[in-house]
Amino acid sequence: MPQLLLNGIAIGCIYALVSCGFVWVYQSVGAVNFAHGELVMVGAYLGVTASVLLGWPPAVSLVVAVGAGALLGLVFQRVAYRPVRGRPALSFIVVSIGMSILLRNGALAVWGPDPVAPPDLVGGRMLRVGDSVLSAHHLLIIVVTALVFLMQALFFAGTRLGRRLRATAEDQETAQLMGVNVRAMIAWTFTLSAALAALAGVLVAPVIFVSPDLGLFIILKAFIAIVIGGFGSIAGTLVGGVFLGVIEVLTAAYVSSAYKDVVAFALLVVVLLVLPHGFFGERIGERA
Amino acid sequence: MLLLATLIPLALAGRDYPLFLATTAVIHALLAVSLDVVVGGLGLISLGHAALFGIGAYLSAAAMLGLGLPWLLALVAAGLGGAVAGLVLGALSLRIRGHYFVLVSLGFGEIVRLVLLNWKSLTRGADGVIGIPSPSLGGVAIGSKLGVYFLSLGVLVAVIVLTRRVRTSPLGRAAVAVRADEMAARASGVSPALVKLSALAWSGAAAGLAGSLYAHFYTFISPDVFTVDVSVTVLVMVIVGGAGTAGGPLLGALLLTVLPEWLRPFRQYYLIVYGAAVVLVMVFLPEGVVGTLRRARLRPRAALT
Amino acid sequence: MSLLETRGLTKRFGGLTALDDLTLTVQPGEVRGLIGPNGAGKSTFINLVTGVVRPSAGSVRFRDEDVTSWPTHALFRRGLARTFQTPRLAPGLTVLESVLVARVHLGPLELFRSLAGGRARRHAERTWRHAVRQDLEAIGLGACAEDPVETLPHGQRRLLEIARALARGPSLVILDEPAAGMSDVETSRVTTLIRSLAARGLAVLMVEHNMGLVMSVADRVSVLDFGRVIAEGRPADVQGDPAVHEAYLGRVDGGEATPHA
Repeated sequence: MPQLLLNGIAIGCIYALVSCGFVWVYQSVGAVNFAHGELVMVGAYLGVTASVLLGWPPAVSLVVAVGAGALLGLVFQRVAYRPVRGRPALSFIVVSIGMSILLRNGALAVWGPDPVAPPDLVGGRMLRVGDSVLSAHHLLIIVVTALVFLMQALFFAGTRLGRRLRATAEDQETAQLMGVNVRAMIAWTFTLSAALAALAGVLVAPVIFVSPDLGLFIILKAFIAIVIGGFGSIAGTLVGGVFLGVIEVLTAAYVSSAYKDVVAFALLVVVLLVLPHGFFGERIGERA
Repeated sequence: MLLLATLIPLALAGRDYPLFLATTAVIHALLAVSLDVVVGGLGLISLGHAALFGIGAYLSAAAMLGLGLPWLLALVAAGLGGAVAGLVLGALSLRIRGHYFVLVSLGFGEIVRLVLLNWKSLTRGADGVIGIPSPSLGGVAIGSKLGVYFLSLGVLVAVIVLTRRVRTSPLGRAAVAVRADEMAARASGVSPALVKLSALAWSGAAAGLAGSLYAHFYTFISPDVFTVDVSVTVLVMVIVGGAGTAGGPLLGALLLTVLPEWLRPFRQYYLIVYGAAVVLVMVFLPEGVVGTLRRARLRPRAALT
Repeated sequence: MSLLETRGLTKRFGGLTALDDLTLTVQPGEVRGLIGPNGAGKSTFINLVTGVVRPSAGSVRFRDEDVTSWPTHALFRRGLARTFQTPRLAPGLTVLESVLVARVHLGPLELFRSLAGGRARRHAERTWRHAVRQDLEAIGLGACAEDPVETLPHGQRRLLEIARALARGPSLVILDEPAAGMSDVETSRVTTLIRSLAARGLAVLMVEHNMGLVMSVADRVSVLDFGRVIAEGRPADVQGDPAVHEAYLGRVDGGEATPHA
């Protein structure tokens, strides 16, 4: 049971990491980046390539993948966001759909369609906690997630760059008037978001099979996590993610593995219909 | 309308493969037109269209195979089923701000696909449904490829005419108002909920009809047919052709049915180019091919005002 | 019985109280003014009364019904219309079509009716169009009935909005800053229009911060500041009220008060 819960929390943390990066972009830019899942997928593949094909040690692979992810994010915003900046949000969503197709098929061409199950980052180590034996990798995921969430809270509140990013997210016009270089801030947001996505990808690779379709799967789960936790709330994504992860794992174990996705989506519909603002967030539905 | 005229001569080619392609193009066109009701009409991006398509297909197959109903009734059932599914999706759209609807519709599409996959007793799951009979009118089965082509064309034309009728009706006007400025529309007595639900119901009904045509044409369906990829492809057809225009979805459907076939030898590269093309089109031709052409034609006139 | 009545209407946003225990009435057929400096809560008031936002406390009654939680479109059908500070028109529609949207009621089974079409529908459409064309002539927009709304100059956009608001013969029209951005000539045209509406028996609630316009046309005026009514009565009485002067002139931004003698 403890390993089961650990699995659930770990996968939930991944969902939370992915959601977090996704929400950053949404708050900053006001539109949905449909290709965010693909950024996770590419990060996963890069991590696998570095550690398996090139034989680099796990820590190095992680850093390389995250760095490459950040770079990809920078390129992404230049190519996909800037050209449609002034236009209604619809345009960016469609462009991001195009980018997702591009990245998905690019990955297919480079790495092939077969799912890959790479070894985990800590060499399959298990830890003894009390009576149970737990997987170190899952613990690593949880620790990293906690660190990330803590760091980002400090970053956004404490550093100059962080505050500027927040100002841009809250009100672009005012931020611009106050001397913030909004374009640069948006570039930063995409870069950081992609780096976080890549990190999530590298962490999740040993847990789920990595395939070019990973992106779609993960963005949907991340979205469900956001809905459960409540839009506009970063803390909410953590709660939503973990909640979703645990429910999924428990469903797979006690009902049937085939139904875990059905339950996840059913949860989405239920929450949307019954509790549109999730646990913490602002109302995302229509007013009055 | 000009495009319709060019479709009919196509039918005169008695060869099997072109007819197969043509019928597929017609079914795609029907899907694109039905999606455009929502994308062009309401400005909502939906990635759950494959679900509406699939529900229609399964209902139609079940009606003929399971209940022994004649094809016309199966077609009607598919349309009604699609409409109901569209209403559900519409209800979800009311609960969520426009941008996120993309993801909700994606989730909806996946839920439906998963249900089709897992409810084995009802749908035979991954094995799919085989041996779906050809469509029949008045008890006479239409087995010939040419016959099925004309039948599909007939349904497409009917849907286009009806859609146009709705667009020029008070409901269509209300939709324009809601799309442009929801608050102003409310202040004019329009209930955005009614407009959205109506649009999605009609979109679903038309997609359901396409599902029926597909099922009886291909005679085999499985949940693998109704995936996100299909939803995305139909969306791309609408966008590239031109959302909200009369001929746009038709052109898009034609392009995206024919091009993949011609470029099949270069499949891998085609797919990457395809993705890049979507990005490029959205950046440089946001109104799609037909939309941009239309705007170019109107420009000289605008200079006079 | 008042046409419109708010009781204890309150709205809180986060830590701010935008409207505080507001009680205000509009009688049938009267021209009512609501003035106040920027930030006094006028927009919030309109949003609350027209169903855009829910109040934190209090109620709204219209035609002797509690309409506090009614959505905007239901209120419009019941006879409560509004215009916006900046005219909000739908590009893609013509002038005629904009008013048609407001005029024609859509029932829940509208989709079926649209699909079915038929001669009766076409006849009804012709009747509506004819009626709307006449309304447009009466208000001075007859010549541009078929023009797309994007081509209308500012003054006429406002007129169109008003025509749209009147499409179903409301009993109360709420005008949100009807003279904003208008020249003196256009402003006087608005004044005439308001007087003619009142003559027709419509009640008008003008929300403005241009004191002059309100004073010249209103039967009763309420002055809002910091979400509260600080003065109420006939224009002449309110003009002389020191609290009102304080509110307008004693503030740093001052609003746009130009009381006419």
